[in-house]
Amino acid sequence: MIIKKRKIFNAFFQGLCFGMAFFVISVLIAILVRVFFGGAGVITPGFLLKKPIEGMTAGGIFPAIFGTICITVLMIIMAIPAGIAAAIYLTEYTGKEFLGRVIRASINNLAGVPSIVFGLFGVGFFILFVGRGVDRIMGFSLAFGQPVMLWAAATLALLVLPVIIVTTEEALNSVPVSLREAAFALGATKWQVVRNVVLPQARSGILTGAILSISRGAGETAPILFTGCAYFLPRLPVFTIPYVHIPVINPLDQFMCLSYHIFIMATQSTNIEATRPIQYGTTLVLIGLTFLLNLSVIIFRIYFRKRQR
Amino acid sequence: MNTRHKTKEQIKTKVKLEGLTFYYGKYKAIDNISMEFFECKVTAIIGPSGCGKSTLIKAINRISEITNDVKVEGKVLLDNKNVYDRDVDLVDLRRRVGMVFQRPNPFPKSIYDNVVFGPRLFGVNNKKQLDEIVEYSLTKSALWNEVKDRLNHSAISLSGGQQQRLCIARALAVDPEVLLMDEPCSALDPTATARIEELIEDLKKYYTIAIVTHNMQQAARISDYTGFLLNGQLMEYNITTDIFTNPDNKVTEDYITGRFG
Ligand SMILES: Nc1ncnc2c1ncn2[C@@H]1O[C@H](COP(=O)(O)OP(=O)(O)OP(=O)(O)O)[C@@H](O)[C@H]1O
Ligand SMILES: [Mg+2]
Repeated sequence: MIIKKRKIFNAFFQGLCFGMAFFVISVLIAILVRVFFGGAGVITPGFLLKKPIEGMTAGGIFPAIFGTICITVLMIIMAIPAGIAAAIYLTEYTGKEFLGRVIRASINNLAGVPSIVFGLFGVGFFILFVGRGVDRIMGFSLAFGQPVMLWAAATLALLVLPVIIVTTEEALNSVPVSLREAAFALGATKWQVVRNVVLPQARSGILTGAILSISRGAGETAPILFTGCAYFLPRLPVFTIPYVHIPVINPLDQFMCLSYHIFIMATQSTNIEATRPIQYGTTLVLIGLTFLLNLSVIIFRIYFRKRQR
Repeated sequence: MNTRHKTKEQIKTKVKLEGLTFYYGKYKAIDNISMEFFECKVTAIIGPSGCGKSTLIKAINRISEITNDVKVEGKVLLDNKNVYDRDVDLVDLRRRVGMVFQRPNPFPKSIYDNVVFGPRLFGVNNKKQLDEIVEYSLTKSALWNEVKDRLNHSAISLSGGQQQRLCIARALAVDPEVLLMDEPCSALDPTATARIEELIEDLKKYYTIAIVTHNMQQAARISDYTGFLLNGQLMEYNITTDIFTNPDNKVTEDYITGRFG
């Protein structure tokens, strides 16, 4: 009798878990299918490579693609070193004592802060405090003290920092104790152990953090809303070095961004009917781009794993 | 290396434990042990599983404290200097006191990189010099012939016994003064064991060796002194031949004759 009850219970929970998993996956598929069929039609080479025209009711979204790539890459470049350094400090140099606990609690709280708050913080701290400060000291009229790509990326970097720190910490902690012991027993200093044993072992875990943060950061709108994203920019945020004529990305310029572009077209457009396919198309491109950025990191990770063998 | 060679007559204390008591947290794993390890001698530590053998030798190079919350009372004197003094440089200590762990723990790097790990830490980067160190150390640890054609292969691909010999080579590569070996032969076949024993015989010309072993015959064969540990206490410590032929203590006799443990 009791055995039968247990079996029914077991079957019930198995069914429940399956149902939940199925529900989550179907929502994902529903979104992807809807976006795909709504947007696939407008995706042409022109759409990907031209800039918007006629009040964004026609033309392409190239500046927004370009801006999204720039800002995501810039964000990763800023967030990864800071995140890794913080995680190393936490795992290797602080234990479970007071300081470590305070820092960990702060990071967890940081992860829970709404992204719009990050946006406002970015304006207050990066643009008005740091940017204006730099301008004043360097004697610029207005270069750093305005919403530009640099500050948008920095704000996004702050947003994804907790993700990177937590995943890196996990990766560092999963390095076997026996390897640390082996290195210390050979007379390695703490830094040599971290550098030569722990970090190489943790590399793929750290890259997982990068993947998660790309997914998180690339689609965000709120943090960049006031910190550098432009509604419409007729030019790319590119700067040509005089004399040699080499174009480089200019982090002190404003930029267009896919997520913001979708938001604008969905809420500010005077001609919703005309922009709807473009909205779908842009969404599809954003999803695809995030996927591609992730894929590049995944390939990187596979390469590292191979080399470790 | 030969400068450290001493003739058999002069017996010099290299490491001396004075009332060593060792805690993991609140758990007392070593209880008030005093004993000596002599230069150019092999000292075997025997005792049943869990009696504190590993803890005892790990207390000498202070390696347990990296990952554990430990407390130490008493002294460990290396050349008359207490290694638990505040001013002791741990990097220097561990360079002088090498260790082979109970479980093989090669780095997931190539065989070559494993051996040169230590020398590289100290700034040896000359390729020729490193090559020499690799050949020397691997030959000493009886692994050279098996791996000389695949030094770039991953150490993880080696068998357990080969990994252990690699770890021995890695420890030798930094040329320590004291060598702590925690059951170095437990994963080895009789042939490799015999070669490691030959190695120990050879190494003791230059090093002070402490070896933990579960194998009574091995302790009898290779060691000059033997300490018998039970429940964290040193039950008996004497010249090996005395311990094995004429132990003072009834428990020691029971243990070495296999009546318990
Ligand atoms: N990291 C640790 N934390 C807490 N207790 C430990 C730790 N390591 C060992 N001990 C305890 O200390 C005692 C001695 O352990 P130790 O590893 O020194 O034994 P051993 O003599 O080497 O045994 P074996 O022959 O099985 O290797 C054991 O009771 C063990 O449970
Ligand atoms: Mg042990």
